Amino acid sequence: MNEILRQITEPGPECLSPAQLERLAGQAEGRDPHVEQCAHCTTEIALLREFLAPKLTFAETAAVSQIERRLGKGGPSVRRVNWYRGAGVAAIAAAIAVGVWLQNPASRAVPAEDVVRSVSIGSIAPAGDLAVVPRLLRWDAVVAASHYRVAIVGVDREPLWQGESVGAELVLPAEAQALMAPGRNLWWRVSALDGEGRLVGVSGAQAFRYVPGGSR
Amino acid sequence: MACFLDTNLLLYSISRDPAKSFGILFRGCDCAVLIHNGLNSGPVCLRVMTALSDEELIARYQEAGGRPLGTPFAEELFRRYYSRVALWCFRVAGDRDGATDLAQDVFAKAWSHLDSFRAESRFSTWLFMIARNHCFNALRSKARLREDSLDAESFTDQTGQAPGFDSDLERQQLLTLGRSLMVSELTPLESQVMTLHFAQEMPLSAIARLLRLDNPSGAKAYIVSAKRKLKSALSRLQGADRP
Repeated sequence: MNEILRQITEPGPECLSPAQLERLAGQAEGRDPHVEQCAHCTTEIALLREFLAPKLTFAETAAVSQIERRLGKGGPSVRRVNWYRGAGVAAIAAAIAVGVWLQNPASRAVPAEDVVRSVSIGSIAPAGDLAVVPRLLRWDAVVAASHYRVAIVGVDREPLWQGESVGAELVLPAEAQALMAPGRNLWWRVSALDGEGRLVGVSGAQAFRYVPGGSR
Repeated sequence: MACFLDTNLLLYSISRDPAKSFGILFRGCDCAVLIHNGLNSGPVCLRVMTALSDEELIARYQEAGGRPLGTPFAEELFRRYYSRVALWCFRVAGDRDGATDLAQDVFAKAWSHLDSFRAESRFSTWLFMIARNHCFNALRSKARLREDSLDAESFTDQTGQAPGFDSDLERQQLLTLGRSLMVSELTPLESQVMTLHFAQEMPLSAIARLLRLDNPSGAKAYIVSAKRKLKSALSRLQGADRP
């Protein structure tokens, strides 16, 4: 009898196209005579909405960060070239590009909407080896964000501490600072969320560690 | 904003002979130069790249003749969706390794079909459809309704037997009735769980993650509740039909 249930719930010829689904997904109340009677299309709209504006749990944030890093390393077309293999041609072309760039000051201005469009947040500090235990995390603001969620993770990428901030910085409490044992490798990342808790930006994982007496 | 050549310089191989054809992208300032057989594209101001819409990026990619010269535009485009696709795949797979494999497949598939993108929908919707179809197919081939399927608890009539059909007409009538009851009797969430489980053959665990169900018994509770409601409604209707 599962076959009956399958037939009841599977798409029919009158079900909506992707373009029609996206139109309704963009509306607060997706009113459509067919959708109101169709479990399949209702489900598709719900899934599309969740894909476009996901609400992450904390555990998902850490997982997504790791998967993103893996995707970045093995993207479909880009490969990082070893310097000893490509240094010659790279240097020539770099000189051309930098020269052109420097001659055109206008091109250096970054449009304000860049940050809004991008889901990538620039992490600013701390990073790398630190001579003192950091007391503050700072990052690039995301215009659409109402608040930010910060996580510090260990080598297993499991969250050790998390905090929230409405601004683009967060003062670390003592319990977070206590995690930063000398030489311990840690990472932190920040997610930007809008007023409804939807993800509007996410940073990469920023590595750092406390190395008393010296910094890189 | 400055260029940090040691960290932000990416060399794109755009042909089989990287000494003759390559592109350089400065991630920090969005400048690029594409070089092919000693000729360079001139400065490609990728500064504007992050300000371009998804559809504009695809247009630039296609104007550049796709790969290899359009590669930076496609890269920027895909980068915007890393987190969304990663999350989607993580919810489907339930583990990071499986999700990474799925996500890489999704982007590889999207990349291979990018030339044929016709803007009939937004890029985000197009990519969602690729991710959705690929992940659902992968799940289906991995586990054809595994042990968490509710076969033993199927949609039976009052006597405990599956309803029989005397004709195609009866069958069609039941399907029409069933679709109507799905909407009138079930909550939207129950309806979505039923659709994902029975039409898409998704395991209950994946449904719980995709729909963010946080109740202890997850999707199964919705299936049980939905079946009870459907049976009850069917009984009511059958009773009303009886003289």
